[in-house]
Amino acid sequence: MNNEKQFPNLSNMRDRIIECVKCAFCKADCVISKELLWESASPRGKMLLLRGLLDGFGTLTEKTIKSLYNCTFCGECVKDCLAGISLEDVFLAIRKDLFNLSQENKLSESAIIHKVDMLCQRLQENYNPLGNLPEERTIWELGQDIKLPRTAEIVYFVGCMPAYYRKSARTTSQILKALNANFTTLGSSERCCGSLSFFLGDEKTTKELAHYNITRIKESGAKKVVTSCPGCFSMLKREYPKILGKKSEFEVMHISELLIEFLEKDQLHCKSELNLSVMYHDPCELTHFDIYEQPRRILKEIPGIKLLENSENATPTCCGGGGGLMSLDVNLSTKIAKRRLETALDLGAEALITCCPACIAAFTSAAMEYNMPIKIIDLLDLVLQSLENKIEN
Amino acid sequence: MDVIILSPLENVIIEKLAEIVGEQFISTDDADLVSYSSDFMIDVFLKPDVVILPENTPQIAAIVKLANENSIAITPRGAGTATHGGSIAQGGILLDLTRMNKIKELDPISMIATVEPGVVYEDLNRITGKSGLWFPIEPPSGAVCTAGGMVGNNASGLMALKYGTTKDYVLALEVVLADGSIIKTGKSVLKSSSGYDLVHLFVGSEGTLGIITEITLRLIPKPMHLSTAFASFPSLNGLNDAMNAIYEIRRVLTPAGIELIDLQTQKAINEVEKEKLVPEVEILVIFEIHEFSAAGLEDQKDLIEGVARKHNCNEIHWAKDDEERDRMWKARKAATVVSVRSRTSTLLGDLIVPIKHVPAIIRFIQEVAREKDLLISIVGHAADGNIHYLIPFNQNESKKAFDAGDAIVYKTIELGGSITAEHGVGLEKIKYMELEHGESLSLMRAIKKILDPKGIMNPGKIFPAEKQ
Repeated sequence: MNNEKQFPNLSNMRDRIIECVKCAFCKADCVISKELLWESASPRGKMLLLRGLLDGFGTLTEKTIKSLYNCTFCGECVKDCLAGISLEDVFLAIRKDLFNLSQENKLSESAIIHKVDMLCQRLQENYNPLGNLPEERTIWELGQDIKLPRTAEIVYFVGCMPAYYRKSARTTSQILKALNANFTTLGSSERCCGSLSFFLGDEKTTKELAHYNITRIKESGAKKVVTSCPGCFSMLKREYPKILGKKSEFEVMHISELLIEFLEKDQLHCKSELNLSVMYHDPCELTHFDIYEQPRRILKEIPGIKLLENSENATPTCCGGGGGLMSLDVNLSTKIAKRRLETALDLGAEALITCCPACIAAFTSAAMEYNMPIKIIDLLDLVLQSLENKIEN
Repeated sequence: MDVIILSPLENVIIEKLAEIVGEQFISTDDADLVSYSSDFMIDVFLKPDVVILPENTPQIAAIVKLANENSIAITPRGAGTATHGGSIAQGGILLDLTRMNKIKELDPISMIATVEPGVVYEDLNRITGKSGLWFPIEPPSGAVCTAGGMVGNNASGLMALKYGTTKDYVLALEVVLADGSIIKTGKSVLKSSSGYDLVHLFVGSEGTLGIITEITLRLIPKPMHLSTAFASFPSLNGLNDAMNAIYEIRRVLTPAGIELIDLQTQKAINEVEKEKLVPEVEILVIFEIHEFSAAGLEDQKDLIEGVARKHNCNEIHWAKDDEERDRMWKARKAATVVSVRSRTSTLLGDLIVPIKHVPAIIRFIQEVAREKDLLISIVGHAADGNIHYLIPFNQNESKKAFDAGDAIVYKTIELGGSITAEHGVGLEKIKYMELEHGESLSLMRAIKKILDPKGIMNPGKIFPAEKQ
């Protein structure tokens, strides 16, 4: 039996699926595989499931569907694949097919598909995946002494988690202000970058959000877009041009890259001493753009920070929150985050530092759930603390 | 061997199995049956009836006892990185041992580790490395393969020339036999002449005699100074040049590893990596040397370089740092994968011949490739005689691919070699077992019958069907 018609996106990936020789090297750094152990949780197992679906020797059970959503898209399997297969593209293809099937009410029995639908619907209605009201998107600005211009050189694309959880958005804007950056935001005009719908296979919503946000950014006249969320960064920098079929008309930067620019112009001075032993956690979506050194360099600028590294830390591993996993299976996501925190504790770190709101949420949740004696701190908070003291001085 | 496989398993048995391991660790879901249906490279897809992830030896003993009482086939599996179908099952119970991944004891004084079978090779070495100790097999799949799988297949790897194979490090085993009883054989000592060596009967038995549930391993000190080189032998006579250099080097020192990669494989590696990871020459040889002093390392380098150049090596490049060394080995590890990407199926050979016959068998493989119009890639552990050949083929080429594989195996036997050096027999090489072993295969069958009278342990593997 051949199921190519049922899975058109997956069928386009047939060659890549066949190219997989099942060596299992992809399992080596897969956080899902390490946590669940079942072969169906591993990238190789998923490739076999997909081959089974295409060739008819496998069936679409609830566990098959769950396995296909048990992926954080951290990209470690792609790095480990000796055959050079982009497994992420294959896993995205089946999610698109499953989403499209669900829209035809063909997978109504599936609890996981029901959850996917609910999340995408929430995003379509509120323009954020958190279920908050769209008009509350600028609530973080309350009490802030910031008057942003209508147009500016830089647009700070705030993102849903920083905006609705407030702290990260406030910290970023305070840093930009302290550095006299010529910046603005899209305010209440900003909508979700579409990262969640992208990973859940909802192409239509993702495309609409991409088109909408790009139009608003163009209206701002900005030549540079800065994000504090690696998820937004990845969507704006890599996915939007692919989705919309044209090159960006503006530069997209993660805040850590922008801070390095200020550092190199001798405009970023971290003065205050913060005595802390820390492990830095690389957010997956920054590693995809080879952003390893920039956050570390910033950390090293902060007096008193002792950055701990070892070979295990040098191999980046996921927080467990990506690819929609935190929304779909918070228990699994939290267990994965716990493993990473254990590495930090083994290193002797008092705090885990990162610069991704999703990673921070995953780690904070794990630290609380398992009562782990470690602080989870946003790199930007450390920078601001250090800068703020300088201002006070 | 008559095997009665209840397929599908009766629900009552499934319920009993679930009572033993807990509902969470047993599955009859198609997602699990499909994802365990194959292993590395082989184009065979077989579904077990049930997959179980046991946690400890008593659970395995209870599972095996139940299987034996009901004549249910039981197939153990590590990471599924073997290449011959030894860890896949047509029906019956598939026992995934990766949950048993504890290092039970590490004795740095005696330099011995006792581990569960699901411990991943590199995880073990990360821990032993903290005491300066090492289990030195270095299989290319070391980041994922398990100690149990390595023992089951008598795996070897990239450093076998100096350090030997898995069997050389196994001191003792705990095994669950086919009737569910548990035996311990061997001791945590470096030598013993007490009775038959049952430990090494189980090493390489591919799960056909029992389930290995605990392994005691000898460890060695990890050398402090390592280096890796690419040596290029460019002339059309590069194979002879390279092998003559290797023969001469082996007579005066034992490098940790000497690998050989043919031109076709070099091109495939560079194509996938999108950068020139390896030079493209007639024959590329990788030298790996280990020493306990920097001076000793330099002496080895000088000697190797001198001999290689004498035999027309035009370039020998030693890795500048660990990063470059890792990149070089990444290229070698990729060799078996990249050569087969463009075809739907692959035949992977694992022959070994007396070392003096390495040029003869490689030339024979090249002749077969020309004659059958097939692309056959050759990589191998040249200095111990173990050559891997990869025959990628599409469906319309399957007959000539299998004919080529047969011809190469017959030549191997003719040269006094063995059909498999480190991958095991599994499903794929059964057809050559009589050819290689002749009458001694009957003794192997007799041993199997004593230990597993009902034939439930990994049935259909190693042994060809008995003639009626």
